[in-house]
Amino acid sequence: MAPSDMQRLDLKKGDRVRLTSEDGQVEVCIIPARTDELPAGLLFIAYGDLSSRLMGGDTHGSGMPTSKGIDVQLEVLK
Amino acid sequence: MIESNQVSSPEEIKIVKDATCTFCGCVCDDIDLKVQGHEILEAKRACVLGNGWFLNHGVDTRPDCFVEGRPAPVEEGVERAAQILTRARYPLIYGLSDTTTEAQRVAVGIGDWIGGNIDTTTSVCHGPSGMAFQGVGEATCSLGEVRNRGDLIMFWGSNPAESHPRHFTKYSLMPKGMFLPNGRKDRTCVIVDVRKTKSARAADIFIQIKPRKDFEALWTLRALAQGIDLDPVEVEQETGNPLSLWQDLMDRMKAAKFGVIFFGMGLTMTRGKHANSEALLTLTRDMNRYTRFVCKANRGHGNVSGADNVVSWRTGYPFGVNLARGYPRFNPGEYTAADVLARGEADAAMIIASDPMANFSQPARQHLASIPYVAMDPKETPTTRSAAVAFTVATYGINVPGTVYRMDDIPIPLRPAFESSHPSDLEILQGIERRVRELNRQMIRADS
Repeated sequence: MAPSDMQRLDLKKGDRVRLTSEDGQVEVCIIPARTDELPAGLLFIAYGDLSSRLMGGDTHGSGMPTSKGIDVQLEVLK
Repeated sequence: MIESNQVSSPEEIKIVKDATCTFCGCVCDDIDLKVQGHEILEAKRACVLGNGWFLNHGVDTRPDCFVEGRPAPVEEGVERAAQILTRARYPLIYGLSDTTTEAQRVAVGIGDWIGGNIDTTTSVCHGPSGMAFQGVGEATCSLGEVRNRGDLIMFWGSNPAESHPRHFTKYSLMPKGMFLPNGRKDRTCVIVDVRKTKSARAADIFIQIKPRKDFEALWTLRALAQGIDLDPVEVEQETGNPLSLWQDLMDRMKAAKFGVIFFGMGLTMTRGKHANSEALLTLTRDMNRYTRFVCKANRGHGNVSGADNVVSWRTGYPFGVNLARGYPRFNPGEYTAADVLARGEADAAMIIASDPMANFSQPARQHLASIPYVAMDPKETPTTRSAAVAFTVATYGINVPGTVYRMDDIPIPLRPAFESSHPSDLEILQGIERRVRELNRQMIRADS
């Protein structure tokens, strides 16, 4: 997460959040991005089991589920 | 060349020269392995990923085969696998990107015998690019040409510093080439991404675009290539970068002697998918009006390019192929594994060298877990754990010889380090194919 977003949401490294997409939900720990790695509002998660739980099954005729650029709501778990 | 491949005792150390690393699509074939018994002690010239690959592959002591979760003889597993596949009405064969081309060839053959659906991990990797290749074509070259000629190197939606660590040093940025005697000094590197990745440090120019705006950015460049006037406000609003920056990039692209765009899943996995890849391929094609320009998909798995090649030369199509009517039909979105599973269509499956239970969508995973399927993998994975039949197989490149294709479609031989007690994918697949053919003959006789 961008440091500016972490500051805005009063989050520190290791705090847990819940991410909810149109198709799924995961709970993860927050890691701060390097200063200029991510613009505000953009999160990065490695491709794998957790990220795939946020994907839908529809591939829009391409064979590829939308696996990046997914809109999520973030809820702070404290 | 194997300098010494005779081991008289487990303690004796041998050196396997020019071993091939199959971790990523770079398929580096200049690794010197120091091997003692069933352990690789050192992998000279391997990157951080290659070291992880070679140094963590001891011999797995798990049984060769599990049927319904209990250890079983391989013969029983082969029989059960053949029964599952021949009895199914819509069997799916999927994976294949981390095994040899020899094994891939047999897997496609089985797909043909059972009238099944065959798909590879390409469909959730550069599958959209595969669709774009068919629509636009591909102006391309080998990595050797990039090394010797490429003076403008672009990366779009790709992070080779972390995914292909030797890409920069072996092929694209650092090497001194035939026409680039000063190596890195003779090249300009441009990286376009939504995230400032570790690769960005290597760039002369880094362009951070808005998420899901790759298509707009690529079409901005296409318009500039043709000298079309664009509204600066709209361009900045859409791409997140001023028109002057895109114009500067286009000027550099036109001035290059040999431009290369490597592109990754930043394009194919995000909104637009094959349209994004088509935009990049078309831009590359357009640039050839002004100079020599090529593009290359940065491929992930060690033999995912081989899977594309083998499925193409066996069926005419690279992935997402259905053989139910006795001839191949290709339709991404219909015959691709993510769709066939998420829609609940497949009633059996064979998963080879991949782990869809760990990275498919939830509806696809849930359906796969509900049908009988066969899995083969060197390690225990979420996919092998839920399989009706799971085979523990030897690792390609480390235990198994054969052929793999580098990301630029160059075939490269494997030089294994030591033998495994487990069978190879190829041996298991050949056994299943033999039994499938016998069962088919029995069914034909019974029908007549």
